[in-house]
Amino acid sequence: MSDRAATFAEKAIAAHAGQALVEPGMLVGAHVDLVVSDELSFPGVLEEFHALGATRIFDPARVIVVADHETPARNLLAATSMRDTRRFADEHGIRVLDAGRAGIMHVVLPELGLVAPGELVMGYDSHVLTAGALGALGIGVGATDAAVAMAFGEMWLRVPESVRILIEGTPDEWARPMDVGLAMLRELGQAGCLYQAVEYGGTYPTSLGMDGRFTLANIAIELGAKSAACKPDDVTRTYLESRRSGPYETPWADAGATYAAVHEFDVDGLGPLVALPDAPDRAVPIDEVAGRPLDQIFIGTCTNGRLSDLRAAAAVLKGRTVHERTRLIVIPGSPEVYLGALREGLIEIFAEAGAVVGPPGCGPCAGLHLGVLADGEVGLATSSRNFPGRMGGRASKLYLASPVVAAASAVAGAFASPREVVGDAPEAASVAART
Amino acid sequence: MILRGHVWRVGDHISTDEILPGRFMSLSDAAELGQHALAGVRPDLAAAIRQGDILVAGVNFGTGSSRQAAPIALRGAGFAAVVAASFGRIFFRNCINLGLPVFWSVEASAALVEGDLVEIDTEAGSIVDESSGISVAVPSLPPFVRAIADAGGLAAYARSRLGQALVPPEA
Repeated sequence: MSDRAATFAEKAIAAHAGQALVEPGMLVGAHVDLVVSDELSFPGVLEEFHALGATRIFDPARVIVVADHETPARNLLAATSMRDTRRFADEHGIRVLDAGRAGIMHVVLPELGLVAPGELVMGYDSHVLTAGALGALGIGVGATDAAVAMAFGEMWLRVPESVRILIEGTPDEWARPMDVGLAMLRELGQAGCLYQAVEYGGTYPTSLGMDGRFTLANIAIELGAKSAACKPDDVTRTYLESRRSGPYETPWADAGATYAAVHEFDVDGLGPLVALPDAPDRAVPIDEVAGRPLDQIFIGTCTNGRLSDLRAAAAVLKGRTVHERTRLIVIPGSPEVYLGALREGLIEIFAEAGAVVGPPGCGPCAGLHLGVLADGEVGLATSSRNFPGRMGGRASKLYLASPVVAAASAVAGAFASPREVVGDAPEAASVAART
Repeated sequence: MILRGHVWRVGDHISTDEILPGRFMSLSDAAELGQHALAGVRPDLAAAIRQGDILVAGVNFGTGSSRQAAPIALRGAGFAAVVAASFGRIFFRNCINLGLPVFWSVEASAALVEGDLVEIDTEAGSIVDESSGISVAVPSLPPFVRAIADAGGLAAYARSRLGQALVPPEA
């Protein structure tokens, strides 16, 4: 074992590359614990799997396809492609989560105990780094990488520099982890952590429940990060208790490890933010956009589609209705979230308010289905990205915000702060603050 | 390998959503995808470029979604190489994996003017703008990545490694 102080990413990569120590810049082959793909992308993975001449999967139990991008099949092509995916999966013994059991992969995989601290999770999706909330090393890759990993159980990777993001302070009662994420993006920019492994620290991340930690890990993708991890602790262990049997390690950075940068944020009194079109780093306080009308609002996604997020939105929507001119779409991130929301009476709140409640999955996030924006329309989503044309027409505009800003704005039919819509309501605020 | 073509430019932080918008993601044929390359940022471009042209971008080119259709579309449109001041990491590795030459160079990104004829020598690691006379050295890639490039992409390289470790210990 090396006695050089290592960062979390260096430790995790070294362990998976069979090396005592690794340093930024080194190129290694790392064994992977889990290979994931969504159903829209899987045909591309299969094409490459065949192109490299592979005939067997390294370990079928470690490969999973989660149908979250266009499920239930949104058209004939999607249906045909899904049929072929199921055929391949049956033949090779790999798991497919299809309609009814599927949800957004970055919500479902942790729920199913498929992610544990210290593990290397890779997949053909940019938000795979979300797994880092559990202290795993989550790395998004491409189709060929996923195909090669299916065959070899291995990926090539360049060891990244690591950076620490330390967050202290207590945000405003209506601010959510999403707002902290938007504040980080505003400060550091879209290439602020390009190619780097982020380690979260400070009292704010540890104050969060798992849902809030998933939001933080997830949104780091928009900084250009390779991975983003939270230190495993009792919150992590409690979450995993009912989901993951067997022992797991909890590697974390050594004191004295070398970081390319340490970014410090004081989020004391931080209020709700909104990211303007067309980039996630263009955050402004909600007051700056208050009153701008909205055609469609979407609450969900791997960024903010978990039970705490829906609970927070419902706390604002309870007893209120969605404005005439606005469509509100709510999509629980997984069947577990859906069922939880149902049992807590949240679905009734959404339905009574006049929202569409959709099947667990990515929904309209990538402009594929369940709420595409027309040219000239203005939308708000609780997702991590609002690039031009992301959710529909090239001349549509998309803003980003937290579930409570989204809910308040749905009532107003325009951007509105939660405080403006709910007034002085400490009970609602305290529900909305749970992560 | 010598690549020669005319330069086309796009700006900073161009996402893969703009390189290949979601509404085209069900396409798989490279030529078809090529017709929609950069549809989200310069819809006029795909029809205008000639085979072998060079795409030059600012910082963080290919940020966001991992869609491999993005680099496939660029190659399908006829681009022979992409030069940028910096790249989104998944897009960058997808280009490498596909065997599409990519050059990470702040200097080259700053120097190359749209319309100029450039020559890239991948062996020598140089980009020469024949219109301006400016020559830029580009960083060499790690040996393993060059091996992928020499094989014509990761699938071809991996095919030769079936039954062994993907990355040789000496990489």
